Amino acid sequence: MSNDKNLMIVAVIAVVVSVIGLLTSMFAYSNYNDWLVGGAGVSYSPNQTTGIVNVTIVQNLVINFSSDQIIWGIGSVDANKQNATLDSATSVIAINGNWNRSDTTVDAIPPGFGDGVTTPSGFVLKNIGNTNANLYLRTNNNATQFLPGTNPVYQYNVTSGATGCAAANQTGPTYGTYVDVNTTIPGTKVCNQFVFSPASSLRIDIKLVVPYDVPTSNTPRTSNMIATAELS
Amino acid sequence: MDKQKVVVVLLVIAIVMSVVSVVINVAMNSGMSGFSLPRNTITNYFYKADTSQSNQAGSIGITILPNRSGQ
Repeated sequence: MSNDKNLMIVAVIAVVVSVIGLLTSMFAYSNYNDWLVGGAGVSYSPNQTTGIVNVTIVQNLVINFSSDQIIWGIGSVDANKQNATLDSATSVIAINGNWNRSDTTVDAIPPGFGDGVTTPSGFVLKNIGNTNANLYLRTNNNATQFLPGTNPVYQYNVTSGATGCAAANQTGPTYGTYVDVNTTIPGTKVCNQFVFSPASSLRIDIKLVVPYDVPTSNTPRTSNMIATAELS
Repeated sequence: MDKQKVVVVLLVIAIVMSVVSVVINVAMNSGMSGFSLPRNTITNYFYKADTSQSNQAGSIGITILPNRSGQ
């Protein structure tokens, strides 16, 4: 009888100790869960508290033409010439024509209406997002549509800045060489990993060979170079 | 006899609660079942935005006039 009583006391003590242990574990778990999910926070001592830092970084795909115009203004093919050549990479003045980009004069006498650049300059494309991108280039019309006449030429030439498209990632046309424009959507893939960086840039130059027999007009002829970036 | 049964029941209860307590502590300390983040974790989520393309256009302009020879 006495043994039973002692055993009973021991059992009760065991239960009490277990209950205390279980409650302690559950309390610790509750605090731990608060840390994980950013709950109200728990003070672990009078001079200690916990805060949660949570940041979400969204992938942002953005390219931008920092230089988005090549405007030759008004002009004409020189008399007795088959065509005039306008090359944004080599000159602001046409060969065998009187277009001059640097001349912004607004009157009816060529040259004039240019974009005002005084050194040869093309489009400058930048990746200003936060992810590398595959890059495609196309235009909205081809040489014949843009310059209807005898043997027109409408070409583009891609060059990379020090940061832009590494040689191993360059695709499509050989960089630094003029090739005919492409109007097929999404265009010609010119880079597999257009690097995102404030210093990143691609330059795109345009060469036009304007035939002597293109219909003339006081209305500007325009074409668009369209750059499309996709996640790489 | 009844007291012995009561003792056995109490001991079983104590054992069960002890086991539960041990499981909770082991889980918190070993990273089981979603407890893998350390206490001071800064959680960063990185996912792709819905926008998968970016398009930009530059323009080329030229005005072709007759030349003075009457082209």
